[in-house]
Amino acid sequence: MLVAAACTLLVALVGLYVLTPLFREPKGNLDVELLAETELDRLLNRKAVIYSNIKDLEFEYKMGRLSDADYGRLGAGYKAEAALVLQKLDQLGAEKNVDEQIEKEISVRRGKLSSAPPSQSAPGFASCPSCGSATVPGKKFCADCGQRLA
Amino acid sequence: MSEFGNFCLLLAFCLGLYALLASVLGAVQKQHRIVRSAERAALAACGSIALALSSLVYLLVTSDFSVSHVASASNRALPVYYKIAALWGAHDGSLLLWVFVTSIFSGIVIYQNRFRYRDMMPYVVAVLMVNLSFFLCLNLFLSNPFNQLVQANADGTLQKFIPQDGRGLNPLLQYWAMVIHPPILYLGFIGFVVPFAFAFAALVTKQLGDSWIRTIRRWTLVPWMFLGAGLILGGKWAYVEMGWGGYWGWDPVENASLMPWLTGTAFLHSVIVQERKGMLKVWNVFLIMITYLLGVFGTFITRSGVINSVHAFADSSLGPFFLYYMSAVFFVSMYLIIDRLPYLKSERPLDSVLSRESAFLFNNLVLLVACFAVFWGTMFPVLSEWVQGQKMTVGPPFFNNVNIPIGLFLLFLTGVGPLFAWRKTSVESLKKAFFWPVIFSVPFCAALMIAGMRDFYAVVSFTLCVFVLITVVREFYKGASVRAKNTGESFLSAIVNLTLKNKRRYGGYIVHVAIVVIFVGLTGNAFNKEVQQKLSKGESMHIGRYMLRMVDYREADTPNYQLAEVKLEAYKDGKLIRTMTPEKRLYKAGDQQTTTEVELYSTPKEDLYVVFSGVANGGKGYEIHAFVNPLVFWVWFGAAIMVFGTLVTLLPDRKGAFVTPQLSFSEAAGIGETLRIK
Amino acid sequence: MSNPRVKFVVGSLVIVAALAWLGFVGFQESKAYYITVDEFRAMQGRAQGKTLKVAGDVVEGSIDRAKSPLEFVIGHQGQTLKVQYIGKEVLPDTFKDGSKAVVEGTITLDGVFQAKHIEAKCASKYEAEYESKGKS
Repeated sequence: MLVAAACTLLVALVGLYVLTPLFREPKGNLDVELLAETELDRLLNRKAVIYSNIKDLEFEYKMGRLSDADYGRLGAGYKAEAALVLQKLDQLGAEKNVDEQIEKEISVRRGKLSSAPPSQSAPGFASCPSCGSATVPGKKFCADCGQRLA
Repeated sequence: MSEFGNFCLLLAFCLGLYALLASVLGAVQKQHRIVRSAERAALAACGSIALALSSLVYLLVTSDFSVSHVASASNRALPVYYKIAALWGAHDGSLLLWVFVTSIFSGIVIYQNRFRYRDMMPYVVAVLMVNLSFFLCLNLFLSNPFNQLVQANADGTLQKFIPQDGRGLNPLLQYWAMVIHPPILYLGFIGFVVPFAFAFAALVTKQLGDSWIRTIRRWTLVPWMFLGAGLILGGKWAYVEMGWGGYWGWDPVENASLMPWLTGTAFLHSVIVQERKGMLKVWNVFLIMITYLLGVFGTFITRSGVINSVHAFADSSLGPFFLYYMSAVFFVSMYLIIDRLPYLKSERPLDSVLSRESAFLFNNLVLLVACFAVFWGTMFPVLSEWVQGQKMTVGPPFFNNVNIPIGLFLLFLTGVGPLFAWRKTSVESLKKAFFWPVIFSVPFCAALMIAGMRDFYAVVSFTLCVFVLITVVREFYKGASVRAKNTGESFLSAIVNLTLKNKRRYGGYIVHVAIVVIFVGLTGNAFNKEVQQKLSKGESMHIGRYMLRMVDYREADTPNYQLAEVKLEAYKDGKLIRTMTPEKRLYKAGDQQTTTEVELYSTPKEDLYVVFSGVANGGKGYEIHAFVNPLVFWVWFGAAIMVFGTLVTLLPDRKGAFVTPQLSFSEAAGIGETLRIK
Repeated sequence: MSNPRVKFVVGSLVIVAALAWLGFVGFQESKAYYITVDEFRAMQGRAQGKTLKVAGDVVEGSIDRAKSPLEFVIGHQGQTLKVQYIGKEVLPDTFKDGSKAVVEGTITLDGVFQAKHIEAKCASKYEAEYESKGKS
């Protein structure tokens, strides 16, 4: 008897917990294509990786593990790679104005997500003045390079 | 209580299936609320399983022998902590623990990512739930720990049956390392489901960039660490409880837990190449799938009764179901990988054989060969029966012949790999990098030879250990010097900050040191000595620098077991070091199993390991088996360093840094969306 | 040979071939046929000179610890085999009357099996008893 009561109670609680989200105001829909990584994502990521490769290379050189020739050759290689990525970013019009680009991207997506117009108070995403990676508003330091942000 | 437990399991199973269907439906229909409901169902399933587990623990602690699991794995005389450990002392209860661990892992992942990776998560949830539901299904319908014992009456009707006392926990399991070893091993086996789920979701959503790799870094390290620790604890258990003087015997179950560890190690390394160079994408997806499957395979070996082993549970009927499940996972994943090949193109070719990339590739190659050899040797009895109709087995010489050279080659790569530069290293750079390690290790090698060490593998191993140790020490030393110069910190704080600043690299180096220490311990095996002798009172025997003198023999009785022990005085270089009392025990419960209680005198240099193997002919002597095992201590110590190094790597980044560094647009959009709705 | 990919593949093949050879040597050294006592009897003369693993139940009361080396008899499906243990390892605790044993070694000309290695598993009486009573 007690067991049956406990089981019923359990089912009721679990049912309530699991099923409530179904009847709530939907918090936007899920659109895999919209959420997918963009070319810009990939390029920014690529850039971050090349930068950290360069940082590592410098560090290893200072540690005395690399000959001057290797250092020069590898550094030049990375720089060429970086230049290529930066060029592509330029073509996307992103590097000059990441800020605007992101804003645009968000509002486009939001437009697709719900037909409501983009609100005025949309949060601004900025880039770090030192290393150029995206930062979150309200943060005091850049998460990538530690540069103090305004 | 058993009805309640059973109900909770059934509820969890329903919730798991619901979560699976709802998450796929939500993803297909692009309805966020359905996905939310699915995630909640998955979390509720965790709670439900936790309740089921608690009821079983309650039944065990209160010794309710009407439940078959309690009757078969526990008895009244058992101390409470062993009663709880009896949860995994028999097959059905241990499966419940397994399910519980799985659900906890799934729950944490789902909760952690409730606002992140919204596009991939439905599929992650789906994979996690397929995994959970499969094991729940086995636990509910084929091997249920809440089954009641019944007895048939003369007229054929069934009646409840409650034995006076339980069969008792297998005495071999009544040892601390054994008590914690199965749960730790489970954490390792099953944890790989998380990276696999992310890889699978990435394949489905075609998001095969680097984001899935970044998410699962930690989720691969955690199970890897537990699996490694579980392996060595298992070895510790075998060493102390089995009484044959060793800790690793290439037993099928040991092998089964080694295999996912090998492929997991390969994955941890090759994933770095993908992050840095955009190479090996297909390979990484494949590796993580294999690692997950080998984890399931390990469970299969311990539970199917296909292969005889000291660690395995008695035969059970689960075998075929595991095979169906594993082949389904394999074929579906392979289909997806092949279908998504265009998304998995390598971004650049291999530049040179003398590069860090290629060191990683060789590391992967030999790890996989080792895994394959272990697999082949373990499954050979089964394979040969299929092919030839004649069951054949292979023994330790096969495993050792293949794996010792592989181990040494890996040790070599551990030292050499970090010294290579990415892409291409010139001979000149190599000279600079290798100068000091070679300066130290070559004379060391010569010294070993002069000291009379002739075992080829042992000399190579010790030399490589020195070599690797010097390279790692230099990495820390030079790195800290550069940092101290740049920042003006003291050298010590530079070492700490250097490590914290780049936890993955320097944590990894600490793990490399651990591997060196473990190798030192393993190499000690080459110098093991053993002596077997019959002693009467007052007689003595010699082994190495030790002498054992027989002093006394006695028999005694305790509630749990009867015992017979010999008292020996152990002398080292003629000086009394301690009295040793190895025992034989006869456990009263259940099968009345005998066990051997080893006496161990352990020092960093060597272990003196003494076993009393029985009274010889008509009480005229007592058979003593003594071993001197050099350097065994370092295996356990190395394992501790390994866990420490992994924990360093796992240390959380400064707050906020974890989410923000490479905020992708998908995440930005997600955050924007939540902010707007508030 | 200038292509690093070719070099890598050649290097890999050398490594794999060397390991395969080592594996083969170890395999030849340690392979053993796994058979039960009745299958062993059926082999008759062909059993000579081969390393075998023979499985059977230790016949009750057959363990003769007074003899050196220790002797016992294993049986399976009506057939029996006399075994002499000449190994150095400590006998497993599970080795006793009625346990399932696997003996590894060779047969001598006088029909006694010389075992270098013994594995044993308890015949679990209790499990059988509970199973007959247990029901899901």
